[in-house]
Amino acid sequence: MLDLIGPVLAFSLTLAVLSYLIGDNPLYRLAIHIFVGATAGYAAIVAWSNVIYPLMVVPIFSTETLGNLLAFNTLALTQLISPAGGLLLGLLLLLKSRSIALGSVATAFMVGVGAAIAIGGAVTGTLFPQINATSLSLLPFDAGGFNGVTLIENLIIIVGTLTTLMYFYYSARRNADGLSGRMAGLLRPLKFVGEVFIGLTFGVLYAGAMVASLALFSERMLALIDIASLLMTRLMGPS
Amino acid sequence: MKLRASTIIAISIGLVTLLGYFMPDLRLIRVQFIAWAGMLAAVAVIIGMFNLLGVHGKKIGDGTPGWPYSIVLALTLLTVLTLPALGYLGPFVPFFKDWGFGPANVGSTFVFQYVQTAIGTSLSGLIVVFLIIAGYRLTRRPMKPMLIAFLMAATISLLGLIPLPAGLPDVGLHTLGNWLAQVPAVAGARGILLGIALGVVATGLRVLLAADRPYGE
Amino acid sequence: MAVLRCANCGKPNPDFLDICQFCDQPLRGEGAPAAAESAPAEPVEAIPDWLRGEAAAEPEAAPPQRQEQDWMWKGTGGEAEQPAASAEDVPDWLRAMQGESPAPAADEPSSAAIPDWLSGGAASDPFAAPAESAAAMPDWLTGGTSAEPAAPAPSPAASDIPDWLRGMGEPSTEPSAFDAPASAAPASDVPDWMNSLGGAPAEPAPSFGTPATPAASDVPDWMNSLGGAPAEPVPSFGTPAAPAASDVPDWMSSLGGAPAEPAPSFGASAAPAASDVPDWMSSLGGAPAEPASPFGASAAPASDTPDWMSSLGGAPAEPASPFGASAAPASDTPDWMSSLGGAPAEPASPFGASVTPASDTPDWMSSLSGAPAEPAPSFADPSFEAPAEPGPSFAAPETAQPSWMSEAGTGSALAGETPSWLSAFRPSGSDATEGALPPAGATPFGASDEIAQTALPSWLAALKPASPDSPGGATEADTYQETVGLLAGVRGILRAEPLIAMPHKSNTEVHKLLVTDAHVAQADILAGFLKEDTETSPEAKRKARLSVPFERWLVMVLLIVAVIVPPLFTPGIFPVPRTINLATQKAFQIIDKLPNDKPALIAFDYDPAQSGELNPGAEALVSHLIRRGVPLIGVSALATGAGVGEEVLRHAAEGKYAYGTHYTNLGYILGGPVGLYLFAVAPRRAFQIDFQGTAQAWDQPLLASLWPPDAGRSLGDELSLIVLISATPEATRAWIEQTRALTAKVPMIAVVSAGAEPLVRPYYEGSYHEGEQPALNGLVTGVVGAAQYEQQAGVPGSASGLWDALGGGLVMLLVLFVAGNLIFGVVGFMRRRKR
Repeated sequence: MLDLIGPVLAFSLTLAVLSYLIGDNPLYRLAIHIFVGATAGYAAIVAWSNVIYPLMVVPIFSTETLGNLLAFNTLALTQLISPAGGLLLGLLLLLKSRSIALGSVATAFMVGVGAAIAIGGAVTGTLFPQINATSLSLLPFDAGGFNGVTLIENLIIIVGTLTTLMYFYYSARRNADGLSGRMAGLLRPLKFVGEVFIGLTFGVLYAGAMVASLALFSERMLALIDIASLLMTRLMGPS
Repeated sequence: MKLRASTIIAISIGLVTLLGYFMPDLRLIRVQFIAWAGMLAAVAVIIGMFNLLGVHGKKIGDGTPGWPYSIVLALTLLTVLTLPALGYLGPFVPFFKDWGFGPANVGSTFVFQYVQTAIGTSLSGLIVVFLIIAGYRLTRRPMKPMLIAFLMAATISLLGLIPLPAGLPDVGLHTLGNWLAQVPAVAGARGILLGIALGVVATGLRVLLAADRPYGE
Repeated sequence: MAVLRCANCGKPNPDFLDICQFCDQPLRGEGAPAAAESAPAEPVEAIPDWLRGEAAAEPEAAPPQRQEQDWMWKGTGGEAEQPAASAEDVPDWLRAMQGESPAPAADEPSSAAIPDWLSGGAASDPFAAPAESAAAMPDWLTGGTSAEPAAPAPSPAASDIPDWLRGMGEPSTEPSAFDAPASAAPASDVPDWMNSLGGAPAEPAPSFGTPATPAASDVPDWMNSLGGAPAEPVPSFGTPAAPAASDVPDWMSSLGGAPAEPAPSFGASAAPAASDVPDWMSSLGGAPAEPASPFGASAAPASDTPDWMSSLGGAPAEPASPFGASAAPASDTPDWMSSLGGAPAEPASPFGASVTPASDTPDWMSSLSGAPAEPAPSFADPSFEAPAEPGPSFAAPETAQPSWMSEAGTGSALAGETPSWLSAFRPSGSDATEGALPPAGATPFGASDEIAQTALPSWLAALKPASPDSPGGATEADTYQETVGLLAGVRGILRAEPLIAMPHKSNTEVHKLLVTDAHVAQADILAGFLKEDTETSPEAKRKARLSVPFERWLVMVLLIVAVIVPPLFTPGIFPVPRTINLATQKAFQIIDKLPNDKPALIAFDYDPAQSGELNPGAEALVSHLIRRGVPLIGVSALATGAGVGEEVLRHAAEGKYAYGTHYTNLGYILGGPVGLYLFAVAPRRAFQIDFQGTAQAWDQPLLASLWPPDAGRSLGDELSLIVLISATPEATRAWIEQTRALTAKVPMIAVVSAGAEPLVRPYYEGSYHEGEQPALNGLVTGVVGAAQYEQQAGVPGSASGLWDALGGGLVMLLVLFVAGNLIFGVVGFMRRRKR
């Protein structure tokens, strides 16, 4: 029977969440609060057991480290730089949570490293490869010769990519009254084309989101049926 | 421009990390910086957990409306936190003999499978109802070019994804749907990704040049 | 002003006198006539006599006086409840103006009928009911007749206030001199000069208000015309009713005028008997038939006009101010009046007269000239300057004038003490004979040992200019105390810095705000914005809706039916995909041809909430890899993803793979993109312990030989494949951006959610040059891709079991989407068309 606790718990919690369709109710709120508490606790366990304890606590507070300290093993002690620095920054971050100015050092450290990593990744991982991928041939030749379909597709991709980028241009020339303005030249029709491509992309995204959520819904419904049948089997006995 | 210690640290650390892409000699120190940043992220998760406990503890203490739910949240969190430690009772309690340690212990796995998975999947599945309702109300809005393209793309994609019942001929809806996802949608998505990348580069440079100081100075 | 008749000589004296000005006998005492009653509310010790009025005279008829006072207020639209004053209350001179015969009020002191403003003002409240001093009309107003006070004597203090002045501000029922001729003074009591002012008694005077009623016989016509209430015996300025000619001075009667007469008030054509109208007054009115200025008085016989008045007016036919009186007979002119005029021909103002010898000149008059020993009344404002041009002058009486008036001196007598309002009446030139003011010192305010000084009423005291010598005068107290230098602590010293040099705020508006129409318009716009923010807009009316979310329920029920029915009741209605997506096929081909000497890295970057959609694809690929014998290393950039990976690996490897040897789960990569980059650069720096808690994860057989320390190997050097399983495009993008540069030679396959696929596909699609490859080599999208992969692999999995439910749900979803848009589109179109 102990193995039924889990399925019954899952069954109950699933119904509690689906009760939101009736409206906001205490069962739904209860399920949500349980979910948040469980997720936060699980994340803390993983952070502690996978990073903090093995990388910061054990290297500093181990007997091996103590022996190296007593023996003045500088080479071994240099290995403490990483955990000690991490521990120090962690303590500074703790001060930041207490609104102490010194805690800004830890956040500044994180922000500096994160900004550099983000720049490097964006440039090398997205910017260059995507520009490279957009440079499609407008004279596509394959084994069968000139491929017009490919040309059209390539044109569509090139035009779509460029006009989508142009859609996010929000500057305009100022009029004589200084209050309003119109975009210069060809920018307006190009923005219109970009708007169409963005609409197409979002439509496909929307369809995919619906399919994804439908798959999850279907899986839950089937899980409920499975649990219900399991319960019925256990309660009623094998027929 | 007055630079404080945190600003100097952010700029210097960031520049060293960025230069490490181009200068192999900076690899070691760059790796160390990155390692420390990862440790800080773990500490931030722990601080966030305590902050969550504090907020709900205050709600309980002040008797804010909804404080019973805060009790449930706090009890659940504390219970999940204590589950890995029960493995140490294994030598003493037979029930906990094969409990295990770390996040993969029996108790944490139970919570993960029957609580987090059930509730999370149900929440995600609940979204489909609201997506459908929002979808078939689109035509109530003024018909703009973006909206027309959106409706057309969504309809064609759905038509391309539907598994045709046996016996129904394939009228090319799958092909059309695939083409829509592979050509026009890719063009739009590529433009969006380029825009995101440019924005990330601009924001990162602003941080490294101290034009933005999001670290609370 | 009330009049006291001396018991000794029988001559009239102002009521504020205690000693007869003619025979120096006490006026009050046994047998002394009662003074007109006045009702001051404040002590009147400081009130000069001329202001106090005939305080000794007691008004005889209080009720009538009270009523008579109303004319002053009824003239401005006042009450209609005031009973008519009896004829006896109207002084003769007033009555004469109204055209009435003078009331036989011998037994009534004329002072009772004299309005307060003539008999003496209120002591305390200028608008308070004047004392009943109407009966105590001074001689110059009553024509010298003895004025029997018609009202009981007011308080001693109040009795000092001249009635005419007392009645100026009192709105109550105190009688006033104009409306309360309480006792029609005998014709002999009214100075001729006053009578001459009244004009013909039968002639009505022009009225400013409603005509007086017959009951207003008590009230001069000219006073009735002020009231407006027909039932009131309001003595307006233009009441046709005129008292007996003998009672009403000409100047008074001329004030009322006849309705038919264009002559304004004060220039009433009604003229009492010539003998009753003082010359000065008659000179104001001119001939009875002559139209005169509102303040012009008709001519009066010279004998009736006090000297001071005649000196002011000049020729009797000349129009003069109402207060410019023609000369009155010397015998009828009170001394105080005569002293105002100076020489008999000298005009004098009734307020600017110099005092006569003490016996003749009232104190208040004597103090006007020279240096008064007593504090001057407030009217004598030394700050006022004499106008450049003399104002209307009073006709100087040709005949003898009261001594006090004659002793008033020349016009220069009042130069030092002349009130501003009085200065306006200063006669032109310095001719002492005509228009000259009483000589200096000859003022009614002159010091007199016999005249006791009384207190000024508060309202009057407030008008009094500050005198440096006055004990109560405010002195400029210099509280400045030096703080520096040798004079530190000393007060009253000159400042080192002039005040003008001290920084202070200028009282002058240096900068003027220039507001144009555009500014106003913009300010209005801004105000409109602010108003919109603060305004509460009523909630839009909405139709009544069902409280239950019927729409949600309907959609939910339809979906449940569509999802449950096919797998339960019609399994296989939706066949599994017979075609495979190219990207999915590539992924399959990569795994199918993957060597198994190197492990494959699987990143489970999704949380349990997306496990329902992504687990089928993850299980399909992991199973394929296991079938291929490829070692597996599980990681996750999400905390809960590591748990999901643990479950998938455990389930897929159950009975086939051994943990630590064939597969392992390193767990959670902290730090997001930073941690991914660290893992890509130095994998051993990212993990010290695996997800299951193995103390030395890198000592496991699977990992022991991988990425040896200090070997400088990156992630891609030890892997055969990277599989990214992510629910969001951001997670896939992070892996690609941070690790692809170091794993370019390792194929990368992505298993993504259907919602993330459009933003992940650009990393798969593209044309690359030779030697280059896109970031993603294969792409499996959601349950559909997993189902295709399983079909391709020939091994059914969870995706195939979900296919019927997913198919039914997709159909229902499409129906709802299309039908709903059609319905709402048509409905919306019809509504817009209606509008």
